[in-house]
Amino acid sequence: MDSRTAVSSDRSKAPPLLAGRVARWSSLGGNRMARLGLMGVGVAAGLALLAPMLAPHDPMQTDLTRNLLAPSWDHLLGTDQLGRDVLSRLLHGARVSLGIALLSGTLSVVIGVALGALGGYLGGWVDSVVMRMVDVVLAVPRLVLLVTVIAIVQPSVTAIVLLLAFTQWPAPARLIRAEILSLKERDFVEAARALGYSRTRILLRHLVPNALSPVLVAATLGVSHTVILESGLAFLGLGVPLSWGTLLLSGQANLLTGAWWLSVFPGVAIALVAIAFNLVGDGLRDALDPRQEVRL
Amino acid sequence: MRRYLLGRLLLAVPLLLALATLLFMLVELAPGDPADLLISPGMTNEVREQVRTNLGLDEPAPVRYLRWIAAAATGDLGFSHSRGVSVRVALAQSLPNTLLLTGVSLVLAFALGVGVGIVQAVRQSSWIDSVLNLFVLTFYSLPSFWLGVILILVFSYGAQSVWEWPIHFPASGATSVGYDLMGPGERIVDRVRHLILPVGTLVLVMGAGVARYARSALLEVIREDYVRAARARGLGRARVLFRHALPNALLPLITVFGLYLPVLFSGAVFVETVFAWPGMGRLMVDAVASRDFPLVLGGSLVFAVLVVVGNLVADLLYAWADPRVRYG
Repeated sequence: MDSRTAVSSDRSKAPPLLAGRVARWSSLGGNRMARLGLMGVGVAAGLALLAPMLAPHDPMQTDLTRNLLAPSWDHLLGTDQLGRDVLSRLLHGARVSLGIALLSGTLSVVIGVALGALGGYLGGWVDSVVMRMVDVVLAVPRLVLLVTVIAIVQPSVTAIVLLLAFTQWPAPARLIRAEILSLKERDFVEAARALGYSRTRILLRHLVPNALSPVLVAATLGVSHTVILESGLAFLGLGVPLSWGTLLLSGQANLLTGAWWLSVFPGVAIALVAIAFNLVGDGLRDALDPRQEVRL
Repeated sequence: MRRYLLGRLLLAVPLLLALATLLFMLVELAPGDPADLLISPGMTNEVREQVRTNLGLDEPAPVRYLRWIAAAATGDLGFSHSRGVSVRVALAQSLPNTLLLTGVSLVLAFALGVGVGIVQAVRQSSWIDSVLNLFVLTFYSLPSFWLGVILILVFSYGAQSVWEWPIHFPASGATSVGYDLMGPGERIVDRVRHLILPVGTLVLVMGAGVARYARSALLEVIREDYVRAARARGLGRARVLFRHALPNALLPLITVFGLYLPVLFSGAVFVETVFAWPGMGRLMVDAVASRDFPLVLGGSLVFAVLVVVGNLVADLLYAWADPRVRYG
């Protein structure tokens, strides 16, 4: 039986189930900015997926007779110091930068939700251990840890994805833990327990799905942060080839030759993707946690 | 209050210890022998062994770990081979520059961010709110290192060589070449000119984050009953805003300040790299590049201490500002 119909007092209500939530997400459609963001994310993903078909040139093809060319019809976004086409490199770079951000984001949510949910539900020493791990990871400045470790293990896609996830998971862990701490005192959990459901079932079927919304918002906003962070690492020389940050790095090296297009376009790409994910994240937050319009 | 303080301080100690251990293990995992960097190919194995003994590298890792911890506790962080000075000296030279850069940026970013947040919250859903939102979101989404490069491109390179504006700003360093020969007035002007672009980069990016937070915090408070009650009692909008809503909305901002320290230091690493600012961030990047692990360890530790201390200060400020935390 649905716990919502069983008891009438407000506190006893389970939060709307996932189906209801998905329905509310469609109110994203009512939010113009969020829709714009969603479109941006879609376009970026499409361009990344179709990069080999869309790119006008081979991103690795060097041609020293045609280096540092300003944008023209042949090379819409110009060429770099080795004569490679910037547009083609940007398109292929989208696969690297977006791929790393999405992979590490997913991984961090999986780790964070698992640990945070366990800690919040079981409490006691499990919770203490998880929270101390969170404290340690949060205490060291993320960038410093990333720079140190990547320099030691050498940059590779796997290493960067794993390290980004490893330094990101405390955020979803703390969010889901806080949600579960308050949810587990509600009557619908009591009811599930009274029905004799196992703790595993209560945690996985009743608590986690209801506690996911803040995690989803944070994860979406986190993607834009990760895109920036990953390109930042590449900008410090700790990235993989074709990452947008690596392109920016070569731009900075040629800054004083006046080759502005090498610096400007990769940065614009990073910023547009970050803005798009931030818009979607903001829209999700507004949809899942609607604030009344109030005026002072 | 004193118990609270003591409890927080006691918690910080194992945290830093765990962190130091983690960092040490990471560096242990690094491939390559630090002694190789000090030895030229022609040297014999005896010399090599001698170097390793001198550096204490011939001892097992646990022994070196305990030595390092014991020494670090007394402030001795070892010797930086890339700088040719002790780690403590290298850090002491660059820390003030970073604190200057981040301190000025932090104050300005909070002032700007809170100001924008107030305007947005008061004029919620108006065109001002929308326009400011657009700016805030854009700067919030910009990579600081890219913004720095663009500022250099426009206000340093472009202003000087392309458009020949009367005013342009230096693109790198904390002081000009002839700084030592300048008078006191000139020195201040020179310092400020060098600060403008890096500080501007950090303030725009961080201020946008603060503005987002301040706006939503204020909007949340404005919905509270006591705000409506205050308005109902006939108090003016300005009075309600500044005396009732704002103090309550800004309270959590103290915690945000603590949470922002790592963000600030990350930003400093990038901005210092872009602007060749002689601070901790650049020191760390250089140290990593030259595999100067004592310096990497020492620098990470100092950053971590700064973050832990900053969070502690934020918590104490919060407890001081909000009695509910103290007694709750």
